[in-house]
Amino acid sequence: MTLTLRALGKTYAGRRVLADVSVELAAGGYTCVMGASGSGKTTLLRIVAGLERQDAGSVLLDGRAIDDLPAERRPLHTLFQDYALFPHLSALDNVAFAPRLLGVRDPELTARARALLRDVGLDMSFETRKPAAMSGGEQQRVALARALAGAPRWLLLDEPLAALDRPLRAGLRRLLRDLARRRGLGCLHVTHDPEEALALADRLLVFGGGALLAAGAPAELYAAPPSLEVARLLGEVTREPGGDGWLRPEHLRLGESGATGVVRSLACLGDRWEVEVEIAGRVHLSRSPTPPACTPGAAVALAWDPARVLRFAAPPA
Amino acid sequence: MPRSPHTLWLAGVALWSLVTLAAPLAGLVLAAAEPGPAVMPATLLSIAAGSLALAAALTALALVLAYPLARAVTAPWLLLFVMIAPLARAIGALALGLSPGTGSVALARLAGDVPLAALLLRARLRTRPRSWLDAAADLGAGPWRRFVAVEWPHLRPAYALAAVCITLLAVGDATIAAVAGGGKRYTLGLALREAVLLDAHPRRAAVIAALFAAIALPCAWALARGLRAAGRGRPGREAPASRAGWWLLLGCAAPLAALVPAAVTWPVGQGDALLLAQLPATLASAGVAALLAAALGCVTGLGAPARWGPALLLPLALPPAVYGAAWLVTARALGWGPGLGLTVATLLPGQVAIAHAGATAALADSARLADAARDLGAGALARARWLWWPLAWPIGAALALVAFAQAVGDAGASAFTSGPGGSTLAVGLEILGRGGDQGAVPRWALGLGLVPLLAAALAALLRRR
Repeated sequence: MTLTLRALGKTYAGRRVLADVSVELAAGGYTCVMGASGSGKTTLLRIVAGLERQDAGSVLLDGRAIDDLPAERRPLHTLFQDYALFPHLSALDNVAFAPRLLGVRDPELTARARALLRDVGLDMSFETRKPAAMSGGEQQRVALARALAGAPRWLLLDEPLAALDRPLRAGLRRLLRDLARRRGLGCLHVTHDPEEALALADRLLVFGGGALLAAGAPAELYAAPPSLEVARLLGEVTREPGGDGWLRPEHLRLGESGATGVVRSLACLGDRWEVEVEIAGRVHLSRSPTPPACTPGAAVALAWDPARVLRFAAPPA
Repeated sequence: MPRSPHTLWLAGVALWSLVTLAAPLAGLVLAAAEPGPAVMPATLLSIAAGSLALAAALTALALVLAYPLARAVTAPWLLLFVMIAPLARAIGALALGLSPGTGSVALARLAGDVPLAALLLRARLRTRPRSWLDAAADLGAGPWRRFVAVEWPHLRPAYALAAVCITLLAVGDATIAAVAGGGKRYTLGLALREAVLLDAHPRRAAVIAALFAAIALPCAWALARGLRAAGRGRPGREAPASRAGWWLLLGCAAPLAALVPAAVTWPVGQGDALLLAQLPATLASAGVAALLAAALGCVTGLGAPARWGPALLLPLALPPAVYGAAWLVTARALGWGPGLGLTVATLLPGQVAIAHAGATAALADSARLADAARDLGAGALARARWLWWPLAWPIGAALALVAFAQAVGDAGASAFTSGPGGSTLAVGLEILGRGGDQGAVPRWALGLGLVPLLAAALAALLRRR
């Protein structure tokens, strides 16, 4: 089921939060929406879900406009940032909520809800637990199972991993990707974490100031962003030594020849090392997977592949 | 949150305002237009000034005392003391041996006002910003500096809300001033009652009602704003308990405790029989009003747009005496005599406002749940069945109990509307109290005072569910 957004626009109290957003998303694809806070990501998701009405434009599923379809009749479900689990219902009843509305009854209803809880990695002990008695990660899994239970054609995810710690986030990220692939589910996932977006997405949409700044495959956008703003949203960039271009820190290597400077600091980031090198009063960042053979204050040379240099047109005055 | 169309709400609120506010006040204004004796503005001004001065002093004292009480006592206990009928507190203050006058009025008022302020304050104390307090301590701020810089700005909305509520209650009070004041202490509420019931002076009553109406609008706005502000905040660090609070609670219980000796030692007499005869009708009318109020309050609390909050809370800003007087005059003009029906109609707006405030606070988180339910395919009926009913009925039941206790103990509005001889228990009790019955009055006042205990126990049970 192809999801098409056609010239969507939305204004809040005179402030434009979405401006002429048009994009077509293929069925079964995993699309991540990235952007800074206030860039209109969540508004876009709520409009697609039918929880808010756009001022202009249209949302189409398989070419048919669904603007007049209320949220409860759209074949898409949302995984909310704060989970929004029903506090008076157990985990099993939360998951059974949508199938029950579709007319599924016991014993099939319970069996389906149990299977979904199992799918998201929750055992039978969770069935009778209410949301208040669960951790954030457990609530997130129940919310995911609940959203999947109504067999939606598209799953909308509003920063679903933002409130979780790093190990939990990695586990749930893998679970999300696995579930989406197995079910052939289209996903529209809002996030501000580039790592999450790059790891999950088949297609990436980058928003800024309510407008769609870039759309494309994540690796391509990372390697060749169309603007400095998009480049920065997808990861750090550092100035090209002695030039007016930009480089990703991992493309700036410490070597024996190249632009020379002085090491200001070095830090271990776990799986990689980061070195700050000062050249002609400007600080440049270099990252490498192996420990650098230098110490703060030492003179080093920085080398880079000119093909990796990112050059952007000056923004319009 | 899925709102019903705003125009529908607008029409509903307009109709509600017309029936509950405009119609009774219009009746009073029309009656005032008829020729009659002079209003004597100087006397009225003097009563208003005295009433405001007493209200201001009591409010200041209640706000100071509320802090330790809020730190010591849990919300159900505070609610229990708030719900004790003013009439029971007034009779209890006299039973303590105080002579009628300012002292007994102050004690009877404070026994309810301090727990009310503490209740409002406690909700805010539970959301003390832990990280800010820690940051202030880390930067070297001592307890006083932390209070001034962090805690006071956090508590200010609750203090403002409590100040508005207590001042309105004190200025509009007629019951406590009549019973515990013994004619030595006048409030605007009591002056209104006397203008209608004793002096048959509708012009003076209309002037007093106009004074109340003038302050009601900004107060309703302040109440709506205060309720929203007081409800905001994330769970934080609760303030450490204060022992002084328990002594204050004992002080608030003293008027009720003073009723016990006389209640159990005096033999049952004719007064008891008179009051017993009024009990069934009182319970029935209070029950009807409470159920209606809780149902309407829950519906508006769940669905009404926040901008209509002041209109729905407006009846809280008008003292029961104003309602009673206005409805009595209007009902007479419409050929509707005093009785239980008129009492229910008079009590309902205030009770709906209380239920609306309670439901709004309790269901503040409902918007995101409604979004989730809609997103999962739940239409209006399915949401009502699977979401709103299970979430709202325990809250509605608790609110109905609060409204019931308030209606049973009310003598402020019912004094006007219940009819000659007193067709409700509280009004009959007040009449007997003024007549000097020494056995039935403390006994039944104690009974009135204990109604909230039962209601609070039931509410606590429902809350646990």
